[in-house]
Amino acid sequence: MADSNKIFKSLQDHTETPPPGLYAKLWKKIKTIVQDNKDLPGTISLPAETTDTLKALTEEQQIWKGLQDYVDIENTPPAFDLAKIQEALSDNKNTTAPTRKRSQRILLYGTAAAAVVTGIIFWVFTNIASPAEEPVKISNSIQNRKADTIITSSATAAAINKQDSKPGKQTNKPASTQQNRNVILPRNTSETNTAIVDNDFFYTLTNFSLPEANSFLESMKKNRKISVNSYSYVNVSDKMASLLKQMYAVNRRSKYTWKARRVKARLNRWKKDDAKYFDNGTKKNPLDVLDLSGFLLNNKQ
Amino acid sequence: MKISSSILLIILSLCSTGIRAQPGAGIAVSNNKNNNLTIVYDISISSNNKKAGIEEAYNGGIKTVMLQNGKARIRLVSLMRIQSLYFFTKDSALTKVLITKESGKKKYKYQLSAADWKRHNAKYDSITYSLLDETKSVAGYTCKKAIITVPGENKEVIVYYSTELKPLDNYIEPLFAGIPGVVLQYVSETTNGNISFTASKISFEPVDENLLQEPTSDYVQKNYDAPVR
Repeated sequence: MADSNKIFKSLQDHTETPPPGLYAKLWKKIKTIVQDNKDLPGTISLPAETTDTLKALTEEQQIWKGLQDYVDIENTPPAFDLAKIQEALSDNKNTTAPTRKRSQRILLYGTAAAAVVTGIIFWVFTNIASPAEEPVKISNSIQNRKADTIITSSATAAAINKQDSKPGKQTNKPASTQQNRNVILPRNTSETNTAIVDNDFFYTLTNFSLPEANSFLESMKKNRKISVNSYSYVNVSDKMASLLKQMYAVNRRSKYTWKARRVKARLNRWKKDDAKYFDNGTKKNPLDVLDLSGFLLNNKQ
Repeated sequence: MKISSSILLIILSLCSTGIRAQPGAGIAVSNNKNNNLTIVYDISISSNNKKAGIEEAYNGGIKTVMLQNGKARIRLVSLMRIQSLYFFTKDSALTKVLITKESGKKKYKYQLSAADWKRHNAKYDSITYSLLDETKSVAGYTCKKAIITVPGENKEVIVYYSTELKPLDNYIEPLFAGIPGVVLQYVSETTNGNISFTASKISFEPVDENLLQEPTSDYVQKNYDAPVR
């Protein structure tokens, strides 16, 4: 049998369809031989039902019927194992859950990535885009430094002008007023001496140009006292100092950062609240400790 | 003998007037020492907020009380605002009070008569004082403790006052009108934090007379509207 298999294998690439009715003719020939020669053993005789069945089949079908008992010993299929089949089926079912998880993870990461990209775009837009606002120009009137406003007029403490709030921008002012702008916060003195514009610290301190703000912040690290004149000064608290530092933080393009603008907006909001509380008639007075504590600590603003 | 007894009588009468003049508030600044008086108070605010709030704009500010030749001024300087109270007298009687805001674009001043000022501070009419024996040194002066209770506001203010300095006139600090001395430290405590004013400098040197003059230019005159209590 083994040899015959080899023959079939080697011939499988050279198959040729036999002419139709060949197989039937062969059987017919064999039958007649058997019938004519009675001496031959009846080993070739087929069972009656088989013969009937063969008669019923077409010739081609009969050929395939004859081959159905063929067994390839070398390439035997694996033994039928129902447990293995079931296990394989169950594995197929289980693979659906990880797939679902993976798709969920992809969705999550995708959403996060989209959020990050949106955030970066927003940050870039807010920090790089230059607003088309006109620079704020405040008159540098000498009247601000009259005696009754108690601002020192000494040569060393020249006025800081309220000017462009955007860093890196300079306002075009006459040379005579430029002189007054430059001398701020002399570093050779133990105290930080400066005059204020409009007698308002927030207008003064929060509207420095960038170089002025930097020198102010450097000076403030050493000495947190701002002298208004020989009678008045302000100590800057730690929290306030860090807030002012945040307010002048700039990005690589020397523009105020988004956080800096936010801090400034917060300061302006405080200022509005303060004005609403204390400038609304004479009902409340910041010099009255009860009014002041009511406003600052009891959140009455 | 008659001469010596009359001298003794004169001395005794002088002593008695001195004793009567010392205690109590409302004595006009007549003493040479208090004629020129400047007290600088440092303002310190501590709140329960972890982040910087609006109180930080006042924290570190100063309040200066200046007295000179019958005029007085109280000035608050902070990062948020500069505000002053001016007091003008005639024959030791209050004639005019000015409330001014010196900072910002819109400077203003309110002019109040003595009656207006009294009405403005009506909330302090019913305050009570508890004088305690506890002492503390503030700006080099030994101070006694007192607790001021303001019933209308339901608040308490803890003060430390020095009897070595003559009390200020009642109208300057109406809250301290019943304190038998000059308050050198006071604290207002709330559940959210506290505000303290502590004297850091006391001077008897004269100040620039311009500081006590009424501000004229750049100020918008506003009408006083009496607070509704």
